[in-house]
Amino acid sequence: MRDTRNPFKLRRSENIDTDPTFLSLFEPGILEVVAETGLPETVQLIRSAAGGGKTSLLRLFTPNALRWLHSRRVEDQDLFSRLQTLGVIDDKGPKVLGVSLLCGRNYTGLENLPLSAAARTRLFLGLLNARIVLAVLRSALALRALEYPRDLHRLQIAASAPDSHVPQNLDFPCSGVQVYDWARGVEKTICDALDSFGPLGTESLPGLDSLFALAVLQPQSVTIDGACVADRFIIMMDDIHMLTGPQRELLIERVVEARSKVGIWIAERFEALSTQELLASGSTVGRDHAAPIELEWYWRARHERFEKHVMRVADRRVRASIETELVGFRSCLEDSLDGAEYEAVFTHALETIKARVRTRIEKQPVFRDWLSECESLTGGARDTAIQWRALEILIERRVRRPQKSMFDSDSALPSKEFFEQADSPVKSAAELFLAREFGLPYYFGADRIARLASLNIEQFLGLSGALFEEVLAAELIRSGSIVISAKRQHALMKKAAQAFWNDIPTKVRHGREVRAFLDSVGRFSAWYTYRPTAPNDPGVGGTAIRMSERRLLVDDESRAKQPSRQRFADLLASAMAHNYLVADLDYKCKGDSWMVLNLNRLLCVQFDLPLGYGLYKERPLEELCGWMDVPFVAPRNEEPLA
Amino acid sequence: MRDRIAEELLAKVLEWSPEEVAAERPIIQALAAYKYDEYQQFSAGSRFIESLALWLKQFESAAERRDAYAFVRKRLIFCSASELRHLVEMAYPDHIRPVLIDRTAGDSADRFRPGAVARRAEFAVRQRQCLFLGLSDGARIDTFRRANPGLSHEQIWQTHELTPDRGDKLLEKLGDDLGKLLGRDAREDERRFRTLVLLDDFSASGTSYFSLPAEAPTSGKIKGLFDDVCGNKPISRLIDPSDVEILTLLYLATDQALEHIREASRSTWGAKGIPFQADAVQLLPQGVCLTAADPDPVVRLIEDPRYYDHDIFDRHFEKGRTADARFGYAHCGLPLVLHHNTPNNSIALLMSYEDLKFRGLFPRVQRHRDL
Repeated sequence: MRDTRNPFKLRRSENIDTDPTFLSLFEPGILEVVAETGLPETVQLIRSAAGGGKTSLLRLFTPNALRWLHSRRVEDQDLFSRLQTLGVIDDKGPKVLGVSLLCGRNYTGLENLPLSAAARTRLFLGLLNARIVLAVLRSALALRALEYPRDLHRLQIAASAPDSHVPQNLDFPCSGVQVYDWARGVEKTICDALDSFGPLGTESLPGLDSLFALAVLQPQSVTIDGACVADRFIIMMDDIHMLTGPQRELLIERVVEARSKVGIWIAERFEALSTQELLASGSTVGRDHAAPIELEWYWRARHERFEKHVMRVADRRVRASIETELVGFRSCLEDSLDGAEYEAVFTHALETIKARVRTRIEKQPVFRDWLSECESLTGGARDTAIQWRALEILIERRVRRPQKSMFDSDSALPSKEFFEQADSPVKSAAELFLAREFGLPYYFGADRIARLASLNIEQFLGLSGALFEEVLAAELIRSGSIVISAKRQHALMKKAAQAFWNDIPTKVRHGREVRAFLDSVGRFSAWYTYRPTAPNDPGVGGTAIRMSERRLLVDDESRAKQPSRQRFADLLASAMAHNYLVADLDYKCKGDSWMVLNLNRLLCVQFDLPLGYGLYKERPLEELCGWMDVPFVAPRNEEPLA
Repeated sequence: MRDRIAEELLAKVLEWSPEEVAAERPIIQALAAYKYDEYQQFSAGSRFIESLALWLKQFESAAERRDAYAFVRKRLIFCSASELRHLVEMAYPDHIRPVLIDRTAGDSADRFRPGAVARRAEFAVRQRQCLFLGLSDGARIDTFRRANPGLSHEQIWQTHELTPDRGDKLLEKLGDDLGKLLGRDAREDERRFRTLVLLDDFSASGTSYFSLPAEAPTSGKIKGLFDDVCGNKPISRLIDPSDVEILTLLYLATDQALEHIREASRSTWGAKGIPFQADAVQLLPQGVCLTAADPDPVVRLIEDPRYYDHDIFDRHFEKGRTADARFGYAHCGLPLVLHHNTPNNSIALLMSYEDLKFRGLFPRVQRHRDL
């Protein structure tokens, strides 16, 4: 295993060069996404934004990873037993042959060949068949610890069913060598055509009309030394989003049509979906295949489990570092502002707020008892400052009530009412307001860092990697403490948020428009959050439209009628595909159903917003569409929102 | 010295805060792993980060160390072995072959159809009539040969100083190959090389090829070759001075070197009516060089007597006609390190020998020894 100073920097599974390292860093919690319904046995789509964890999940089922895990089943009991429960492995060894097939190479080049669409389809299916065959051969030998391609003669493929559409120049039963030669020949011919500058000899190009490989390569028909290779096969096609649109659609269509007895997992990024598909995702409409596993949607409904999951991921990464003897990530992060460093700040904040409140209500006896309660508070400066700030918020709410009861009197409001109203959300809002007003750190502590991952594992590794680098730096120079201060954590999160923000125009389709829209969402959320009455305490991190309005965006005819809806739908889809907006569907509130559009939690940092999910201020669709061209501007005075 | 100890020393020497260590350490480690550790003149067991820490420690104040570190981070140019190999591999296809295609096409409309020209038999003949000579070991003729399987081994030679036997053999093989290409015996006038390509790895001043002044060089490798061509030496039989072109191609060279070579070529080849060209695969433009007028704070360190040992200035440096070696030979002022050695045209801060009062970051091994 290569020595790694900062294992958090190994963000993508592809960058982890050995299976032992991969398994040591793999946190089994991700298996929950398949554990509930069992290992998919038919066609299964797996989707996420970039960095969601699809490739890591697939890699776990590859032969070398499973063999290594089997050899270490005592040390890695948790992972082993979870896979054992899924029927993937047992004490004798792997029971599943996971065949990994990357779909990023060469295929898109086929679209540029000067051929008819039908010819290009045949070539595409021909190349895909060849590569599936080669991948199965390679994986089968790997599962038995044999050498590829030297030991192919030990592999046999049995006779196929009559309607398998086997190519004419391939006869079953045959040995692995024969089918290997066929597949390599097809691949070479097609790739030579792709590389050629010369004219294309179409008559010599091999092509096929179906994915016969899926019908032929079954668990019972592939044997090595006379014994079946595995009880089950799973063909795992990754990076489908790198195919062209027509290729992707064709692939899914043909895979479904094949009705193969092997499991076929198709992993792709959300960006491969059309606008309509993306906006429609997250719902449970019936399909010809199992409902797609959409990682962010899955975790969104279980975000607290995700946050625990990423903390365990972080702990593994810490333990894998050669530079430290730390065993946990949480202990590296200061998680409170109780230290002496902040005492003076809170004391100053407290005095400022007290003076402000007293001035605000000096002629209003109605708040007398509330004031008295706060004056008599004992305790640390921090808690007291929060309590006073909460008082200030509640006073504002009371003072700005739009309709006063005709029975209102000037008699003092009871203390009990203050304590009832000064609940946890109000105090959370107070903490946020204090942080902003007095320059206190807010984005710190393990829980908030996990929340900032915004349900994306790669995003988490980026943030925690920056923090861990400072832990290592502190250890190197023996600076005394290897706990990253709250202030420093906050500064690093702010820096990360700015970089994340700056990247948007270059990373996504309609990047500038997406960012402009997100800017309006952010500034609107900030304006709403920081209103003196702290509505929707502790504050909002996004907006929402009615589900009926969402249907207008999904419906082709509706979009055609209004070009701004088409533009907005495309923009929204792009933002969702890249996890800049995380959607909740069918959120019930105020007697209606809503599609909540949560900002990526890291974008909340850009606007000093709180990090709780599901807190939003809804806006009409037409207003959000308007933000594409005219950014949101905070009203000068406190105008009530519609 | 273990890397961790070296990094600790580095952080201490630069008085880095944990934030700075976190920001810089990944970069320094990446640079070391990617290129700098492969420097061949580090002593056994020693690597870049250690060398950097010890080098910086020589500067007396923290501010000076930071300026020196900033120079290493922002201006140092290190040419690794694989990068140099890449330049060698690019030399023929990107710099010579286009010239041969152009010469073959002449003034015809085919000038704009290089593919068609390259398929012509004339091009194959022209290509075969090209002789590649190395001007030093640095020409990496072996790599050049392997990178160009379309060239005959009999038209590539590792030195420009040919023995009579070698000259005869080159001509004989040329005749044989032309016979095959032409489908007939080559005429006597055809058995000549029409293009001489002179290859070398690096030059900063150009004065090893033509001594100063450029208008009237008296020595140098290419000057020597020129004298051989004009005289009765073996190479003069390989070419026809009325029908030959001289291409000098360096894998890595400065503006200054190319300018000098071109100027000197004008006064030699040009004076005999022989067309010439001088080019570099990778040019080091004037802007990378340090001068006394450069606002970079590292210039103060270069000029500071505490960080310069004049013992480095030997009789070879004198040929560059400068009073000291602070800015390197001939005041080239290069911030350049090659993986196998630091050129003496680089600033003394980089290349100063290990046994001198001030030790360079990438200590140089002398090529020119005083016996």
